[in-house]
Amino acid sequence: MRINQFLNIPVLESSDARAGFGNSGSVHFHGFYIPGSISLNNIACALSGSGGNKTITVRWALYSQNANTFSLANSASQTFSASTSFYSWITMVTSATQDITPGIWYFAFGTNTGGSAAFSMIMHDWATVQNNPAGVFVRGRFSTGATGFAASFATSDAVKESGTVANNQVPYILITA
Amino acid sequence: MAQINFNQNWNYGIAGSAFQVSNGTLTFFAFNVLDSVSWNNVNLVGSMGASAQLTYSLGLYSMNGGTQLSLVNSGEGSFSLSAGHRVYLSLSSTSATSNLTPGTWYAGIVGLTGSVAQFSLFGAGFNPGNAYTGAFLNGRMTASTNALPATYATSDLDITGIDAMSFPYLLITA
Repeated sequence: MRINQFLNIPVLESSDARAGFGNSGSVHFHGFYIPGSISLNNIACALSGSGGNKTITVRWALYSQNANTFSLANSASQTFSASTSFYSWITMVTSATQDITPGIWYFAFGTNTGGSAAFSMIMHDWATVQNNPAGVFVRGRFSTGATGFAASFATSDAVKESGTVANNQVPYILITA
Repeated sequence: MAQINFNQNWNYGIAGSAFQVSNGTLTFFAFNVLDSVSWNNVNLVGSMGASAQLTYSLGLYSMNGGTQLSLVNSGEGSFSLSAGHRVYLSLSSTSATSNLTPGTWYAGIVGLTGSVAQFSLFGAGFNPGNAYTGAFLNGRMTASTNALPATYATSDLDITGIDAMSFPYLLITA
């Protein structure tokens, strides 16, 4: 089965703007089930903000999991500049053409900023949980360095979601063919 | 079909909203399995208003003839909860090995909370004024119980009210 769009959180609400991730080498990492084959042509997220001149780079990567290793399958990024209030889709360019097959894939997402850094990601509301779920990694964070994504890393190096809402934040990511 | 290592009934993790389940009440809800997944670890998210012990059983049911739920697998866990803390209620020991095939399955949950009247599960729900028509979706027993039945007729379930029309977040992992 082929699909031509995948939205990781299929409930878009304009009020779901959360304080941004800022300039960080720690990325948010979440698994999703993609139900059909899709061309990885356009990757988009949404940001909002106000205030002075700012430059925001959004970085996204696609990982697969095999046994105890996550492996980089593709990545995309875009740099966005703003000097006034904005509420915008940001479309990222992928590093390679790819057709994704159905199954579980992991999205990594991070940002880097310059200038007046405050901005918000459009994401769904989360709840902080005191402990982690049993079983395989589903969502959380991992450290990948200030600007890049590791080609591979151990599943044990990913930090699961408990303890802080920051481990649970997932931006809307829209993939379209 | 492919084998996946986790299945969740919605993609965006734990919702901030919770609904209450009364002590000794059995609640059923439908969920879809998207590809084959091992029923190794089963996770709900819950809390209690007061610090107390929660013992709950979760049953995996199939639907026969569109009207009868039949128990396929089950697990039980006991948790010491601090007041107001939101935690994963994880079961890792089930009564039998199961590899779930794609399709619609049903979960039955019954919780025993001692002197506390109820516990909360995090998920989503709403309370329309009329009963849903069509294939069984979710509902609860009207009588109190402390065990999972081997079979249960969906026609005997209450399918109205927020506690009947709510879906807890359910994460199944290999």
